[in-house]
Amino acid sequence: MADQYDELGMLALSVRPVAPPPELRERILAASSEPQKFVLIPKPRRRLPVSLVAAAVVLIAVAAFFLGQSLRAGPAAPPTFALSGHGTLAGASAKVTDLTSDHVAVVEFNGLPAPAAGKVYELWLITPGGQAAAAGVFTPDSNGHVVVVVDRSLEGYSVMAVTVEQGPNGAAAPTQQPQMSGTIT
Amino acid sequence: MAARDPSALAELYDRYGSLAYGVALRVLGDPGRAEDTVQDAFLKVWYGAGGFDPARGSLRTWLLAAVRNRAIDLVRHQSLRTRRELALRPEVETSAAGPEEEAVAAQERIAVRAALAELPEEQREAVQLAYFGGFTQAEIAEMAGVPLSTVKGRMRLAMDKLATYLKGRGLVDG
Repeated sequence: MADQYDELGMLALSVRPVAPPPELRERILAASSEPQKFVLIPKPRRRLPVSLVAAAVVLIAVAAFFLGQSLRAGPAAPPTFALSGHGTLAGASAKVTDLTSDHVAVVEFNGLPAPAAGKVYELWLITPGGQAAAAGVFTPDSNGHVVVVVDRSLEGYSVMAVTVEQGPNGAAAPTQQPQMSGTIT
Repeated sequence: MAARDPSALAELYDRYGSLAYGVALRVLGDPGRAEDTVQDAFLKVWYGAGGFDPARGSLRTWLLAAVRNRAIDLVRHQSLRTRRELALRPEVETSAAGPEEEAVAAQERIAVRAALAELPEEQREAVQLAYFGGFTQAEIAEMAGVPLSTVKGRMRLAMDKLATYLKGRGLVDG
């Protein structure tokens, strides 16, 4: 099938070019220059049972959805930005909805492959100075989809990133370069 | 690109950004999602530039494959009906090069479209569903109500005819 799709690639040449919005160029160039280094800071985190965390994620995600709906009915929608995958996560994407008034951010992942056995994905908030704060661990469902709720304000952070860490509780500090990242707007 | 020179990424975007966006838009039919797809693909190429092997194809081919594959990842969340409609929707035929298109690229586009137009309908639909809709051959066979072997045969014939047509016009290597 791989050979078939390589041949099919010529169909891309049948497509008429379309000028994208001008800001897309700057978004791509800006994303390509995001910081790749972290200052490791050990930060103790409360460890809650996985079942409680999962239940809380579902409840808060549902609440955030309806809150988002009511916000969208108003004059200003909550700010959103995207996370882009790199390397093994190049096929994954995430949309972040920053519910600033509630100090909560909802991150919806799609196309996320299952992590290796014994591993989990971990979300990080990174300051302009490169310091990383842990923001939760998660694993996708069988469709590569998961919604993660960050129960803190994004103020003061410039980048949101994802790494793969040892499960079940993740790491106190990143042990690898970001596999997904995005600029907090 | 492999040395991560930002000006190289800018040049790549300036040269192929419009074609990449056009491919994403063709698959997804949604400008916002097409933008995200193009961004994801360019950054994938950017971070994976060290893995590019020129013996396997051009940088344009590599980039467009990344765009198409990312768009297919997103379109697979749509219903089968929506995916089919997006994959088969007709495009407006124009013979002139657009403002975003070099003359040589326009020549290629016109030739590939002409080659597609000469295919029997069932062969053309099969390759469009596969490329623009991300359907597997088994899915195409089920939608068409024909055996899998029939779809495999249609796609093989279609690809052979496309290749012969384009090689005859010097637009692909023979």
